[in-house]
Amino acid sequence: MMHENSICFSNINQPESWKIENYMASGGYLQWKKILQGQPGDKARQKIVEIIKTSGLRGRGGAGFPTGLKWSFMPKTTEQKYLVCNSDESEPGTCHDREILKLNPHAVIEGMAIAGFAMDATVGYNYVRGEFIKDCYPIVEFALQEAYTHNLLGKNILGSGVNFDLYNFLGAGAYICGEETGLLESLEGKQGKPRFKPPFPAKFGVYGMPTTVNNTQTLASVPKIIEQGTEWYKSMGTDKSPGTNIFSVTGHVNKPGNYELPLGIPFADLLERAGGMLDNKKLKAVIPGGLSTKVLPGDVIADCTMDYESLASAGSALGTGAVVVIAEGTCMVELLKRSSRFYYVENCGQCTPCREGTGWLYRLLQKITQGKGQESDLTLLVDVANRIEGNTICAFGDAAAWPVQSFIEHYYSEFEYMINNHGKSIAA
Amino acid sequence: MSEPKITITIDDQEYKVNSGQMLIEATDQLGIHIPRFCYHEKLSIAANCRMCLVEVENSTNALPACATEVSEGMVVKTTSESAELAQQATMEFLLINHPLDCPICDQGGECELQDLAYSHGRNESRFEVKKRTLPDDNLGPLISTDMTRCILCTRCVRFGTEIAGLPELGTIGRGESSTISTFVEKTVDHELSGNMIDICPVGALNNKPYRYTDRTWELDQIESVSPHDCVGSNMFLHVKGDKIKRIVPKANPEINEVWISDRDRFAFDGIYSDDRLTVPMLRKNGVLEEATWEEAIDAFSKVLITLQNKKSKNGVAALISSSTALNEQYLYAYLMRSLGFNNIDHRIRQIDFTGDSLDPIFPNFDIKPHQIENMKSILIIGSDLRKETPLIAHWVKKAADQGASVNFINQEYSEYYFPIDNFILSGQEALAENLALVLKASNDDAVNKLPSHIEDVLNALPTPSLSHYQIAKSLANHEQSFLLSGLLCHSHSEYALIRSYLNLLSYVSNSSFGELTHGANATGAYLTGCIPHRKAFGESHELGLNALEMCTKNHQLIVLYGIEPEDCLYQEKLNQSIVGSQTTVQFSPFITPFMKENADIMFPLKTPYESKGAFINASGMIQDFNLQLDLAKDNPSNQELLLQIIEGSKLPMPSLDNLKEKIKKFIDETKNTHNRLLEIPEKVLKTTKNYSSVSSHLYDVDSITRRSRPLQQTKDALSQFSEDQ
Ligand SMILES: Cc1cc2nc3c(=O)[nH]c(=O)nc-3n(C[C@H](O)[C@H](O)[C@H](O)COP(=O)(O)O)c2cc1C
Ligand code: SF4
Ligand code: FES
Repeated sequence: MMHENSICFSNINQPESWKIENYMASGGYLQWKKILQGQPGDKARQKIVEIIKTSGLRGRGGAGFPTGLKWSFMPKTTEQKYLVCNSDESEPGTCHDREILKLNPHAVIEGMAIAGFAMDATVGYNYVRGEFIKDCYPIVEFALQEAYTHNLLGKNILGSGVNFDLYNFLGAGAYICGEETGLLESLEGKQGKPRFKPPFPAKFGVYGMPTTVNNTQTLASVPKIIEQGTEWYKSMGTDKSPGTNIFSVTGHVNKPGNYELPLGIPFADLLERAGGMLDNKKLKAVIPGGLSTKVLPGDVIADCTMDYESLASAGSALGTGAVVVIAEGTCMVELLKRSSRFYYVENCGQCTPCREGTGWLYRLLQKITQGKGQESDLTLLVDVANRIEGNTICAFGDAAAWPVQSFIEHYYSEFEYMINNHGKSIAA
Repeated sequence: MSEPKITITIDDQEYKVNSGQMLIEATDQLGIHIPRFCYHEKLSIAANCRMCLVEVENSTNALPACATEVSEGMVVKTTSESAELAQQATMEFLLINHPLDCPICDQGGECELQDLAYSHGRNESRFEVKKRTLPDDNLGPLISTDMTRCILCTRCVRFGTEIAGLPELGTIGRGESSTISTFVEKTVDHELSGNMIDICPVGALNNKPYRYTDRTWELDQIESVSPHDCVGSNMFLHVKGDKIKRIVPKANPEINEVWISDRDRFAFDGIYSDDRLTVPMLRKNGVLEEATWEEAIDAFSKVLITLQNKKSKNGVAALISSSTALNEQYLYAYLMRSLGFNNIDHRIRQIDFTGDSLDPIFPNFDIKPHQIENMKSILIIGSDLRKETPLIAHWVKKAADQGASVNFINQEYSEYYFPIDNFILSGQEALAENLALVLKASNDDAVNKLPSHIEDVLNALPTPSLSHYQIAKSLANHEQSFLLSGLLCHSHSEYALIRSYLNLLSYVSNSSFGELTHGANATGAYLTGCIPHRKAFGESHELGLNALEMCTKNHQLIVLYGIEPEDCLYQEKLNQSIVGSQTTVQFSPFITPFMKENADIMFPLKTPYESKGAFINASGMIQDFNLQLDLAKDNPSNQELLLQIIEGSKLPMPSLDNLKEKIKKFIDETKNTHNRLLEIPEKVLKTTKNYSSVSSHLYDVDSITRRSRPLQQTKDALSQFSEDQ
C-alpha cells in the first residue's frame, strides 16, 4: 500500500485541521508534552537529536542537508541560541509550505518547540513569506496564540523549567530572503543580502548568535517522527532518502497539487497521481525540484524515481520537490526567458556576477525571442551562466545559471531554430 | 601577542603565516598581489565584488581571498586557470555596465578598475545592450558623484558605518537597480567624509573642488603635515608646478591611520585667496603703500632699536600664532627677548592665566594619538571633540567601539557616533566643579592620596552624583585610563583650576592625561619661549604681559606674527589695542581691510604649505615639512625674513643648527621627569567669571581655513554663519 499523507498532511482532511483542539485530537502536542514531563535535560536533548539523525530526515528547503547533523552543529554553550523556521517559500513551483501553514500550523509549532528544545534554543522565529499576508499569516498567528493559551509555549512551559518563545515574522516578498543568511539579515531588519559563509549560522546567526534555520516541512515532520519512531519513518522512502516528501506538482497535468508521498516513487506514479498529462499530451520535459534545478527531458525523467539520488544521477536534483511538468508544444526558449527574468529581478544585487550577469542573460534571451539572435549568442549565454555559477556569495548564482545551462544543453536545436527563423518558435 | 605560525602553499611555494587572518592579508604581507575592489584593510569584509577569487585545493568553487581564513596546509593558486577565469569573469561583469569615460574621468590613471581592466579585462565587449546609467546625487561641496561609474563595492557605505560612525551613504534598491545614495536627498557632512574619495576604487566619488582640473599623472607628490590642528596628520600634497591641486592622506599608524579630516584635505584652497599679501607694505604719510623688502625691514628694525633703548620696554606687545613652524617661533622669541621685550605670547584663545606658574614645560599629552585606542576608560572634558580634532575623535571612537567606557563632562551635547557611558551636561560655570566632584569621588578609595589642603577644598564641595561616582570608578578600575581636556577648557575662565583638577585626578586615578591645544604647534611655542613667563627650553624668566593683558592695553608697538585679529578669542579687544597702539606690524599671508587701515608695516608670510619647518603635535612628536612651493618665489622665506630683521636690529645672529634635535632631546628628557603638580592655583579667577559661550568652529580655526571656499560652503560652516547672525 502506498503511504499517502502520513506526516505533514496526516490530519489535513479533518475539518478545521488548523485548530489546536483538532490537532490535539489526533495526537498533536503529545510528544512535546512528553518531553516536558519527562526529564527535560541535556540527555533528553541529545536523545532527540539522535532520533532525528537516525531517521535520516533531510532538509526540505532545497539542499537536502541531513537535519540531525545540522542540529548537532549547534554549540553546547549557554549563550542565547535561536531556531528559525524558513517559511519564505518562494522557489517557483513550490507551494507545500503554504499548505502546511494553512492546514497544519500546529505541526510546525510543535516541531519548532521540539527542535528548539533539542538545540537549547529558547527563542524561535517563523519567517513567513510576505505574499502570505492574507491567507496564511492570520492562521499562523491564530495558531501561535492558541499554543500560548494552552501554555505550550513561553516561559517554564507546563512547569517543566523549559522556555521556548516563538514569534511569527512576515517578510516583504523577496525570493532572496529564502536563502538562510539573507533571511537572517531580513529578520534583523536589514536588507535581505546573504552573508558570506563561513561563519555558518550555527556559529554566527541572528544577532550574531548560534542559529539553526530549517524549512517548514522539515520542522513539521519532526513530531510525527518522534511519535512513530525512526523505524516507521525509514520504512518509507529509500535508503538514502527516507520518509515522505510533499511534491508540488504543477504544469501540464490534470490535477496539479501537493502530494505527500514516500520518496523514491517512480516519476510515472507521481504523474499518475497528478492525473496524468493534460489533454493527453506527450511529456516533453520536467523541472523536478523547483525552477532552480536543472531541466530533465521527458525520456530521462521517465526512468527516474523521485528521490535525492536518482535525480542527482540523472543530472538534476530533488530540490524543493516542486515538479514542473512540461508538455510537448511548449516553447523552451520562451520558458527559459521567463525563468531568467525571475533571477534578473530577484537577485539581491550585492555580488557582481548576479547583479550584472542575470540581466545580461535575460536580455540575450529577449534578443533571441525578438528574432534578433545570433548563433554566437548561445555560446555567450552558456559562457555567462558559467561565469556566474560558483562565483557568488550564495547559491542564487548557481540557481540562475543552471536553467540556462540545462535548457540549452537539452534543447539546443530549439534555440538554434528560433535564431535562424527570426524569432519563430519550433514549438508553435 | 604573536599568533602561532601555520604553513600554507601559495602558487607552489610554502610560506609561514599567522593564523586567524584572511588569505588576502597574508598575501598582501608577502607581496603577492590578489586583485580586489571591495576589500579594504580598515573596513569590514563584504566579499561582494568577487574580484579576489582564487583557487583553493579541495574547494569546488573559487574562493574569495578576502573572506577565506588561512588554515594549516592550505594550498592556494592565485594565477591558475580557474582562478584567472573567475577573476576575468568578475572583471567582465563589472565592465559591461561601466561607462567608457576614462578619458574624462578624474580617477583615470589612479583607478583600480582601470588598472585591473588592463590585466584582467577583454579587449572588446561582448555586451551589446545599452549600458545602465544613474542620476548623480549632490553630496555637498566636497565630494562629486558620477554614480554611473559605481561598482557597488560598498566601501563608502562601510566607511560611513564603521569609521565615521555616521551612515551617510547606503545601498538602495536591489539587483541591477541597486544604487549608492543618501536615500533622501541630503549632503554628506561628516568631518571625515572626504576619505570616501580615496577609498572609492573608481571615479564614482571624487574630489569636487579638484574635479576636471588636472590629470593625476601630471602631479607630483610631496609629503607634508597638516597645519590645522594639534594632531599633525600626515598628508601628501599633489602639486603641479608650484600649485597645490589636492591633498590626500599619508598613512601614519601612530597619528592618523590612513585618514585625514576634511579640514586637512580642503583647507589649502585658502592660500589661493584673492587677499593674499605678496609684497611688503609700509605706511608713508598716512597711507599704506607697497614697499621693497629693504624698506620694510629697515623701517621695522628702526622701530625695534628705538624702543630697545627706551627705559620702559613694556611698550612692546609681540603676539605669534601657535600654527607657525618651530624655527620661526624660535627666531621670533629670540628677536623679542634679545631686545629686552618680555611681552610675548601665542595664547590668544586663553583668558585665564592664573595658572601660569603651575604650567608644565609644555602642555601635557602623555600618550600618542593611536594609544588612545587601547584605553579602557576615557573622560573627556570641555571639548567639541569631533570639530576640534576629528582624528582624535576617531581614535576615541575606535576605543569606544572596542568596549572602552567613554565619559564626558561638557557644556554642550554634540552627536558622537559611539556609545557614551556618562554624559554630564554642565554649564560652563559648573565645569570645574563637576570635574572636582569626579576628583572627590575618586579620592574616596584612591591609592594615591591627595595632600590635605586639597582634601579640604574637596570636602567643602557637595556630594558627588551617581555619574561622578561611575566615572571615578571607571577611571580607577582600568589601568588604561585617559583624561582628555578639550579646547573649550583652554578658553575657559577657570582654565587653571580645571587643569589642576585634571592633574590631580590623573594622579589619584593613575590615568594618562592629554590636553588638546590650539593650532598645529602650541607645544613648539612653549618650548621656544613664545610665552611671557619662560624662555626657550623652559628657562624661567622675568614675567611679561600675557596675551589678554596685551590685548587690553595700548602699546608703542604691537606685532602680530601669523595672526589675524579674527584668530583671537577677544578680537574686539585686540582690534582696539591695534587702533590705540602707536605702531602696528603684521606678518601675515593675507591682508584684510582692517589691517590695511591700521597696520603700519606688513610683511607677507609664506603659509606652512609653502615653507620649511617642523611642527610638534600635542603628543610631542616632531614632524618636518619641507615645501618649496610658492606663489611669490622671489620672496624670502619666513626664516630668512626673521634673520634679516634680527640682523637689521643689530643683534648677534642666532644659531638654528640642530634646533630640532635639541628640542627633541629636551622633550624626551622632560617628558619622563615632569611630575604632576599637586596644586591648585592660589588666586582663582573667580571675580572675572566671564562665561561667554566659546565654541570651536570646525572651519574657522585659522586664516587659511577661513578662506577655503569648499570648506566655507559646507553645512558646518554655513550653520556657524547662521549661528553668528
Ligand atoms: C536563492 C535561495 C532561495 C532559497 N529559498 C528558500 C525558501 O524559500 N525556503 C526554504 O526553506 N529554503 C530556501 N532556501 C534554502 C535555505 O537557504 C536553507 O538551506 C534552508 O532553509 C535550510 O532548511 P532545511 O535544512 O530544512 O532544508 C533557499 C536557498 C537559496 C540559495
Ligand atoms: S561609490 Fe565608490 S566606494 Fe561607494 S560603492 Fe560605488 S564604487 Fe564603491
Ligand atoms: S575583494 Fe574579495 S570579494 Fe571583493
